[in-house]
Amino acid sequence: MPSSRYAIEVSGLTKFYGKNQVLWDLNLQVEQGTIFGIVGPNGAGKTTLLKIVAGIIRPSSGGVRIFGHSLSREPENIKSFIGYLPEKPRAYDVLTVKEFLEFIKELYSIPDAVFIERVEEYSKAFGLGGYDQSFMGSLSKGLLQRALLAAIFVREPRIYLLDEPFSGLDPGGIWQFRRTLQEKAKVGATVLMATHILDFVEKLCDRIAIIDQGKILIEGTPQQLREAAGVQSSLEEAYLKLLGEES
Amino acid sequence: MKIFVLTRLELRLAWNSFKLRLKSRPNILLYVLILILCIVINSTLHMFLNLSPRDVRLQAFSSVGVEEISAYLMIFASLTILLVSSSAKGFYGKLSTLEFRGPDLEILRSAPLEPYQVFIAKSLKVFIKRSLLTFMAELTLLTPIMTFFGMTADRGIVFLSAILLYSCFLYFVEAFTFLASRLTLNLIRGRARTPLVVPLVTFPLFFYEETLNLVNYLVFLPSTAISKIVYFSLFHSVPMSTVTYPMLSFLALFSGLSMLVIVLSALYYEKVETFEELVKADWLKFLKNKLKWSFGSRHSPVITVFLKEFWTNLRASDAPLIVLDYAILLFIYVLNLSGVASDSTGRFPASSLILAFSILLFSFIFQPSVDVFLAERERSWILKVAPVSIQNVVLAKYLYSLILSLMTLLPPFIGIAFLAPFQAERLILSVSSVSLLLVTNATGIYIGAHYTPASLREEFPVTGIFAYMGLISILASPIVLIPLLFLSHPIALVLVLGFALDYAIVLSHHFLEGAAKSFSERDDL
Repeated sequence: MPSSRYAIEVSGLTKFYGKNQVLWDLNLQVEQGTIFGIVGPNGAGKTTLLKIVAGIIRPSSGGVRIFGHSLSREPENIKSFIGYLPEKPRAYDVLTVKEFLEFIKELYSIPDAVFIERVEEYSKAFGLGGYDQSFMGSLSKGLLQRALLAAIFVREPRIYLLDEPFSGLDPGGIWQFRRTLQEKAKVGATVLMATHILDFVEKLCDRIAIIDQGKILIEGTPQQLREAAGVQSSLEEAYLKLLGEES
Repeated sequence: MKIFVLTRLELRLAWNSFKLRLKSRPNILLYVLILILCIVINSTLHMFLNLSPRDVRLQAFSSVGVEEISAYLMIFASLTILLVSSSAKGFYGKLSTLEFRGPDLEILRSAPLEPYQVFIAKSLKVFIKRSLLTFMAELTLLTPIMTFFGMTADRGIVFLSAILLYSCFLYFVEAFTFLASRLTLNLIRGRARTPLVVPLVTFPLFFYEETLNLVNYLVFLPSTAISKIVYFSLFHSVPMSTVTYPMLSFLALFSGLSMLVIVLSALYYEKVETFEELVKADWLKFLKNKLKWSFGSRHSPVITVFLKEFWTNLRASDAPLIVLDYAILLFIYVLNLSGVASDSTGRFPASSLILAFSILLFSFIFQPSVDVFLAERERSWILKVAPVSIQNVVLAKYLYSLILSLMTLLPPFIGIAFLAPFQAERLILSVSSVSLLLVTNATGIYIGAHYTPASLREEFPVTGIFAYMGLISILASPIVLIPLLFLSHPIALVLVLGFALDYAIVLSHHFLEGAAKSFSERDDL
């Protein structure tokens, strides 16, 4: 599949919701094996960008290439490489965790033996052991987030698109999630993650883009961003300065 | 009074939702189209009905003989019922609008309110909305019909009231189903698996003449009464009192029954509302633990999504079990009737076709296709990010709604086979039923994909219901009407039926493609 050094290439992306333009000629390239963070204020267009890359919504203009292949031309082929976590976790309330994972197995054609092995591994990792017979609708927000993360990891996709992945997770869950994600990146998986928690972004991401009003303000390593802002302390301070939100 | 505060809130929510829709260009266009459609239908009917003088037209009816007149009239009456009920499904069949959900759970439940107050307020809103829509429909259809048949104002009122009676009957059916679902949920919470037991309990009803007669009356009464009232108010110069009194009685009967059922429903309201409470229900535990659930292995995506639809719908709502109950009971009932008809005692001969289509009425009230995307709200990302084509997702949903509709159609279909008087009519009814099944489901899927609100808080919009009504009325009616013109030409009839089936398949394909396009292009669903 890979025919490009970039796992994700976004070029000239614009998106209108009615008359409201939320993305303005946005360009972004994410190299394979990178953990890439997108940060920005509320309504900046982070979720829209992730939804377009995941193939959930269509751009008004511009395009997305995954491993050099056009998402609009080969959507089904490309989607099998992508794992997406939505901002608001929702699943089928009346399926149990086990049944939901089985549904995912069938949808993504995961071989039975591989599936059983991975379910055991990730259920344990995300503390879902005692919940396999619980309905998705009866899980707390944090547990639902864990179940959806497990549903992504059992597929072991090549690209992870994660929208606010830390939302609802307890410290143990966050630690486990970060560890798993870093392991995946080490073996070549690519992560594009949108979040507001700058502390995690600083520790976890290789590269970061600050997005505001549908445009990328700046992109680089955490160190490059701090230098651009002229601060040496935290990414949070650099972020506020770059966005002009510093009091 | 808190009920008035709540009713005002419900109406304000509905009004704001309407205003919000007016901000979207496609919705404005649709509202304008609906308005134009009403005017066009009104004017066309005026023009068409006035082309030939009333007497000539009535003479044409009488020249085919009394037997055939009644057959024609029954078919037309039945067709009206069929079309209205399939249209009404999206409106009268919706029980969910009365349930506690989303903000109701968070805001109203924590407020110092009694559940029945919320229930009554919601019921009032539904009643007001329906009255407005019924009024619009009557305004469109009434004046040309009155003009053509030379109806005086008082006969016009009777005709109008007959339609009102029909609406009332549908409301009663819905309220009754709502109550039944509440009762069932209550019963099954602690004890039996009622949806599975109901057919067994009611089974003896069909083996005693007295109880069977009661069931017969319940099934026959509304449609036969309405048809007769309409028939007499249009064609006969009988004293008004002979039509007015029975009609008023029926109106009072069904209004009273509806109110009684609504009051009873209020008692059982809010018994099972939250998911946490629902999962405590025995039947869910039963479905979860004792039945082998499986998405199979190595299926095609269509089958996988279909199985997801099946299992989630079976657990999430009573509809599939109610349909199953209905199918079993109706099957037994129809078998009983066929025995009666074969005795040639003439107990139900004239009404046989009305019966067949009255039963179809119920099947279309249960018609599930419009709702298929409701379950995807806020969850559609699961299917949209999956490596499955949207066409396959739509096809899976179509298969699911087809099977559910087929379950409801099969018993009346068998009934038609026994009771239809002529070979040709039997053929028309059979082919038309299959064609209608294909088209109505595909149309429902299309409308569902187009209009299902993205938010769990919103109800299915009225624009969608109108669009469904319009599409079904305009596109599906030729499937039944045109073959009727060839009743006396067997070869032409077979050819026309073949074309009707082809037309149904092409139309269904078109709507399914449209649904796939709509689902994939919608940013909010």
